[in-house]
Amino acid sequence: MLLKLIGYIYNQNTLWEDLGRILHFLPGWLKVFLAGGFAIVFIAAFLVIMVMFQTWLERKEAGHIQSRHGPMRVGLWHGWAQPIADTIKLLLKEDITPKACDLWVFRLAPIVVFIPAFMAYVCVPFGNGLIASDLNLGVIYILAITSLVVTAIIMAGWSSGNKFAVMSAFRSAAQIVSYEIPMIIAILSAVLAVGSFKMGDFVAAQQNFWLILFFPVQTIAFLIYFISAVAETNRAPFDLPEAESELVAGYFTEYSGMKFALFFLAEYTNMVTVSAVATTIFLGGWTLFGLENIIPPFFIFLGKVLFLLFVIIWFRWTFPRLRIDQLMNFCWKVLLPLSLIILVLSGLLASVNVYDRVFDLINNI
Amino acid sequence: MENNYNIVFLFMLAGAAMGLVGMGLATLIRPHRPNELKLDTYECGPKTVGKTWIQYNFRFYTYVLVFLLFDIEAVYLIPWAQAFKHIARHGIGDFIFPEMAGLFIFTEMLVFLLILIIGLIYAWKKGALEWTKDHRKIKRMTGF
Amino acid sequence: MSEILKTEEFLMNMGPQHPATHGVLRLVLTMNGEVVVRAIPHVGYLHRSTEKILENREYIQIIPYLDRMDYLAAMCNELPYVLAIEKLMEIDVPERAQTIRIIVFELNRIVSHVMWWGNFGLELGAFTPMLYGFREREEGLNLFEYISGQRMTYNYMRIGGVARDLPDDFSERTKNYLKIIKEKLKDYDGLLTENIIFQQRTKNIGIIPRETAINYALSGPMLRGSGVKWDIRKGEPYCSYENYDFEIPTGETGDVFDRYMVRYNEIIQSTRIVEQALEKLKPGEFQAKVPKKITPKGEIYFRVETPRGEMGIYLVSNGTSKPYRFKVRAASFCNLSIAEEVMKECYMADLPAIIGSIDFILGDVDR
Repeated sequence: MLLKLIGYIYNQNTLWEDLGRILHFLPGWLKVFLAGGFAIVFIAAFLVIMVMFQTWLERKEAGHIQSRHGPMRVGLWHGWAQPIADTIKLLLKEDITPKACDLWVFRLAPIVVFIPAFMAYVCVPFGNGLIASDLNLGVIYILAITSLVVTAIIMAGWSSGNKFAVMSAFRSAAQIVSYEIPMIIAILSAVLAVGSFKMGDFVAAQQNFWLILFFPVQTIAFLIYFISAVAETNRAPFDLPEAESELVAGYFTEYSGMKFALFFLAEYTNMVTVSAVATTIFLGGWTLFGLENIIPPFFIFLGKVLFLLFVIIWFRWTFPRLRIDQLMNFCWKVLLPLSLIILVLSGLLASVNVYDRVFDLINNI
Repeated sequence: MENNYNIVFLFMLAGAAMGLVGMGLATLIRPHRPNELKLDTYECGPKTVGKTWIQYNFRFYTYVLVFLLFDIEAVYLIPWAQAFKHIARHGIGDFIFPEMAGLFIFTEMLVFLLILIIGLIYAWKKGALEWTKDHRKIKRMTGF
Repeated sequence: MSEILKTEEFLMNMGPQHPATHGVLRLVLTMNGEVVVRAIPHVGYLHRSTEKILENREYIQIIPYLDRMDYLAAMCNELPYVLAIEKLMEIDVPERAQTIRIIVFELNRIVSHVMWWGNFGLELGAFTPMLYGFREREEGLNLFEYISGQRMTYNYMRIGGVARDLPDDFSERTKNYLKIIKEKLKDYDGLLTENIIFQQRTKNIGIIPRETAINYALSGPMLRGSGVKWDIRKGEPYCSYENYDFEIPTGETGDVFDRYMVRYNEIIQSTRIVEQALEKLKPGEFQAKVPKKITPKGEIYFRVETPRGEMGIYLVSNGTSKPYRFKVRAASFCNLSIAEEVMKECYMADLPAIIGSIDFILGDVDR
């Protein structure tokens, strides 16, 4: 019994099979509903904890980069309870709706920004079988859903009736839309190696050999994806929409209280999303060269995601910000041609079956 | 869990619900004391001058045109990438052998990509990828 | 068609309550999308009518007020005043006092520039340099606290000398501080100077040609950044600066990066001066014999080279114990006058960089 329970931690597929056998009498739609509900609760809890942890990590990391300690007071050990205190503070903040705003758009924007951020988790494989729904178009789905964030940002910026917010919204639109193309093409060159859009297939293919190890083609593809993803999430050095030295706080200048918190939550959720996608597509997901049989796969996945988050935060506290024309030049004149070259190279490798041969070779060792 | 799109819909509802619950919860416990100054638009202290919602030149349309081009390109590339591996392994029907199939469809896509790359170079040379701040240049390009 | 598709310019206030305007400067921007068509600075939010107050104070009481003008370089503000009075009353200042003055003056330049360096990074979106700059500034402030008891408003200079003699281990501590600064400059290189994003953000923006810089009466790093080799310490030496060996760093094109490099090199030059001054420091008097009643007579304009440029004191005295007219030529104020000229047709994102490169202190601008 105990062995079986431990087995579930390593391979949740068997858990689903067993549960399906036990609950076979339920109608199909109810099963879907239950499974979806379970996934939603799990992911929501995961996200809330991740976002809280990230705010703590960001402050601590920033602190240590800047030769200071960061939060140390709340909670006893290194200010671990700071995010909880922040949440309570945000809940208790007065929610100010300025007169000049477009009321309903202003109110809707924080919800609209959060929905795609949350929906992207439908097909993120957290562990062996720990995936809400392994969509057959998973990669395309995530790309499509995450770029919907720009709608909410435009809504927020435009409806605020604040000039800084409007400018920030347009900057954000230009940026997110532009960086999408190198991102898609970088991912397509990875798709060529695996031949599927299913997130599960990506992990399965990389069981013993991660895609990023195909040097230099997939390594550069990973870098292109990662840079574009940082730009998509409006993080430094691409944080032009929130450039505090120019645009105060950008599109959420007029937001306060819980509405601001939702934007904040969405931004950090998106950071987790892009890290999770990068992990799954290029870094082998929850696998770790066979160690996934010893360490629970979920923790391997978490470790990789946290590493990427660490790097993203590291970027923010090291680099100055780019300017809008430099940002666009970098996207269109550096990343896009580079990603096209990578796609061609990747196609060449795939057309002579290099990927399959390497995968087979490694798997047979 | 296998390929099931109903869950996507559930997630959408849940995402909206989370936002609404968060905002609703805050409504119950937060203070609400608006006054004239608080509800003003923030513009660094002074009162806002003029309208906020005006038409201004964001110099983005040339990018948008190129973006559309490449986004559609990506749409064409997606099924190609999906089918690529299968064809490279098994060939297309009987008339193209598996040994040549991969290179064949790769070349096909290469032609398509080359046309696009030429297009990109053209746009680049034409100056469509410049975020220019020169008013006269913009006027010459767009007429307004 | 073009009726519907017209574009409009809009007015936007940047400041007084804005994260990037160094206190309470207000810029009224005429914007065309992302491009700033015109930026008009509005000053006066911090006006305290210091000059008028000083006309009602006795000569010894004036020194603490001067500290509060350019509060990041308070030592440098006190110096021109005491030098002016000394010149009017023909007081001979002892050599030790002169050397001490040079040491604190140049230390204050280092402290001021280091903090400017940090804030300049912040203006370009790099947060970390600010805390690094402040870290090194704190070390410098410790030294000032050690000699004067204060960290910001020192009230250290006196007519005829300085308020207190240096403590015994001051020169050791100062040498240690200079060593730290030299080491940290390497960090600064890595974080900003050699960073490609930083270079792209600062090169070829906010260009001030040589002629314009002279016509606008710029001074200090703003002038030297445009390639004019003018430094009052060399041109009109005071406190026996002529006995020290240092260079005047200058820029070439007069863009923001050149001004950055000028200030950066000035830190290095200042460490050289302080090192030489510490060598020259000999025991002796630190305060000249000064008459009990300070009643200078005449008119004088005395200028020194503060971290921000030429600071001059214009003083008319009619022989009573209070000045008849007291006027300060503040470097920040004169340098800010070029803002409108240099901020024409630039990107919104360039504004903070240009504002930062002007390096003004609102306390000094508004007085």
